Amino acid sequence: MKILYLVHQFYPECYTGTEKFIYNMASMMQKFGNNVKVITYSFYKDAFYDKISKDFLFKQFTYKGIPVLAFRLQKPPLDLHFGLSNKDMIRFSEKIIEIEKPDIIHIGHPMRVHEFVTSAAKLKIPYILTLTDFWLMCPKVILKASNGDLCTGPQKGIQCNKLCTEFQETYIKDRLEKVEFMLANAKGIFSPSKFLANMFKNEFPKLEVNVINHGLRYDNIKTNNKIYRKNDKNIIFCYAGSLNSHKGVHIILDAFTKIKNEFIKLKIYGSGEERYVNRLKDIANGDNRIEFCGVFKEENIGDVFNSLDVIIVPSIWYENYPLVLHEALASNVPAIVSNLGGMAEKIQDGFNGFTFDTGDYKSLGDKIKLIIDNPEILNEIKENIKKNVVIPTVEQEAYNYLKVYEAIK
Amino acid sequence: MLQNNKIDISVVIPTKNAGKEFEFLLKTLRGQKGFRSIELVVVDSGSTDSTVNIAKEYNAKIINILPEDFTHSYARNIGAENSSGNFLFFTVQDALPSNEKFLHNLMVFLKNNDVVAISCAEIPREDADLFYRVVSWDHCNFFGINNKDKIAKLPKIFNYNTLRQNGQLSNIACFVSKDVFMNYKYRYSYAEDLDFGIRLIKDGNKIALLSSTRIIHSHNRSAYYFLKRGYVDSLFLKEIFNDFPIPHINFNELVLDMIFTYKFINNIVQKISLIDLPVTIDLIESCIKGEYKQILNFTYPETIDFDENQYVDGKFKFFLQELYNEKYKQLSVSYYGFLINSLLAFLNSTFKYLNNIYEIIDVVLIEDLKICLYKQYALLCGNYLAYCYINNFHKENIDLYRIHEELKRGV
Repeated sequence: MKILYLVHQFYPECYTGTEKFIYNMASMMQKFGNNVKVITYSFYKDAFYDKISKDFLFKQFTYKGIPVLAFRLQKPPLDLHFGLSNKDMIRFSEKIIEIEKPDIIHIGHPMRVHEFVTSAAKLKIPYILTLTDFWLMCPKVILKASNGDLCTGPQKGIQCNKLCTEFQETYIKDRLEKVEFMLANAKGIFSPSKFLANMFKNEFPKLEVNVINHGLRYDNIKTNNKIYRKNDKNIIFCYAGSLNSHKGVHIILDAFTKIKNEFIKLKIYGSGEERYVNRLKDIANGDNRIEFCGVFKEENIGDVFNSLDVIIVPSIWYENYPLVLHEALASNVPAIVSNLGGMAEKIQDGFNGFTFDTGDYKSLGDKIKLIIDNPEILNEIKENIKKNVVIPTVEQEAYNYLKVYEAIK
Repeated sequence: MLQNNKIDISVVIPTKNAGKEFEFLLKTLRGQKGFRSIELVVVDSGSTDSTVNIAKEYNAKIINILPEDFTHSYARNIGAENSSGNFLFFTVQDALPSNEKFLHNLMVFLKNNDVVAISCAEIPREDADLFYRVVSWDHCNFFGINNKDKIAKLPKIFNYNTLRQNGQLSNIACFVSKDVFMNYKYRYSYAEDLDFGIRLIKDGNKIALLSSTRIIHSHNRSAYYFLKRGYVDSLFLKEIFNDFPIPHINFNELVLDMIFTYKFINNIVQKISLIDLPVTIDLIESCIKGEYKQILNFTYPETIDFDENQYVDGKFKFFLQELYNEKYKQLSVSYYGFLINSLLAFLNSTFKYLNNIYEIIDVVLIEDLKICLYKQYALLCGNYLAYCYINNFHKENIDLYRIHEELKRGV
């Protein structure tokens, strides 16, 4: 079977969660005996590309054994990153699909590559789509209104007109119609979380969205088997991820700095916007219980998660499938998470972790104090994670998609 | 679909130092849907790591046996005897069900298709090397289960080939009712699953090999492991099938052939290392096959430096070095062996596999291909050494006896 993967950006140029997902799928399908290729938009300098077709520069190469076709428009349109229509791309995408002759196309993200989807529909090549964020329903991707509030979805564009007035009404209407066409013609729509699936089902009620959880590579995961007693004092809390304001790291610092306890520690792993990092350091104000640890390598994840007690995921936007939370759960590390989105989906407060009111440092502080005063409650939480939370492996995730491809082909 | 399913199942897993992914296996088994209860039966033969403690955490029934008592049959039989499920699922410590409906799918197939036992194809782990994938693909072709399920019964014409094709069950994943199993149980210290399948079909039963449900399993073993594996496979095929053909091979000639072929692979590896990558598969294939065409121009090597080879493990190199030191005498004639032809047959399979999947060969794939060549060579050496041992069984060849003692252990 020949499978084309479509994605808005890819390794080695970009490496966020979606690229990881597409790499994992392409790599596993190749291991399962299929012919794969990743088609991606790219941002390399002109000299990188070795082929030209009208307005398009492109090049084929392999990334860790995976064939990649990276292309770029010589004169990208203004709405490159949020538009869903580009007439110049139609002929190019048709030509590529005709050459590649895929049995199936799997879309990891339609941004910048959406005309391939239109061409696939025209050429009757079956395609499936995995939702990885809200881009299809929100040109700003993260469902955040212009005033900073979270939005619950476009509601056929009514909310967009009300909350994000920088977009013209007709533009949003036209965009949502194209999304409906793309979704309606797909042979399957998938989401890593129930939360993201439900958000799309609310907006597009006829849509059937199946959940296939993202898988983890367990070779770096080590189970944290620490046991706690009533009088344990040295509890280590941790944040791991990018340091950006929508991740809510400041909320941890607001909560933590107000807790008077000399034994606890907070480790912050990650890097991010300089201004935000400086803001975080200002809030920490030299508190020697707080350590900024930088970025850790993927192969060190086992040691990192074995050197701490509780992880905090305080995002103030709808995380869809936060990787760090899933890695923590796979490592048997309890988490305190915002009561929102894909975080709350996995955590039942007091059973397999803790939730707090999104954005509320006092609510988070209460959970931290609860753990400091009663560290032994972590034992039951860990036991419940161990017995009740199964985060699949990359192989299991890929197998589930393989079954989908085989049923469609 | 089964309605009102209230059937219990026991999963029997022989263990010894099961490794860090064992806990996830138990977790995945505990999370299987469609059964009222799942019993885990762990038969441990002397683990010194946390295997037994992990099994206890997952409420497994633990049966301890002495390491010296372990055989593949004994461990599984004692596990089955101590299980309480209506159904048994035999698996191994490094396998993993592909999803939460895995066991249920096997049982539904068993119920709906009038078969008494089921095994399924494997899908590799993400780190699986090219050699494992080619061999696994070849096996699926041999058994006729690449992309289709197979229900097998006793073939009309039976010989070692048709019996293998129709009677193969695999203990990586073997689903069977307890009643059926207890009437047979496993025999032999190796290939007990094949023997079980053949006895079932000889008694008029049907068994199934599935492609529609697969189990995750693969491991990247060393060339030395495949030397042993090839050796033991051939010994047991002869033990199970009287008609399994054993070529008459002279041990001294085999040593010559082994050393020649090793050097020949070294030459191929050197040659393909000089090619600028990426290139088409055809180019690599014609480069390698070009060497084969000139085989008669090659003479037996004068000396060999085993240390240099980075694609082969130390144990295998040591094994070859000893043979070379003790038995190799250079001949000044053209090559007249047989290993090269066997290797060529494998290469044809390998390139067929590569052409199905890849368009070009890059630096990642070429390294995998080099390792693949040496592992296949090791497997073939094992096969042929076993043939020599079988041929010389009564002649008490001391070298072969020593090799036999070394290679038969620990597979």
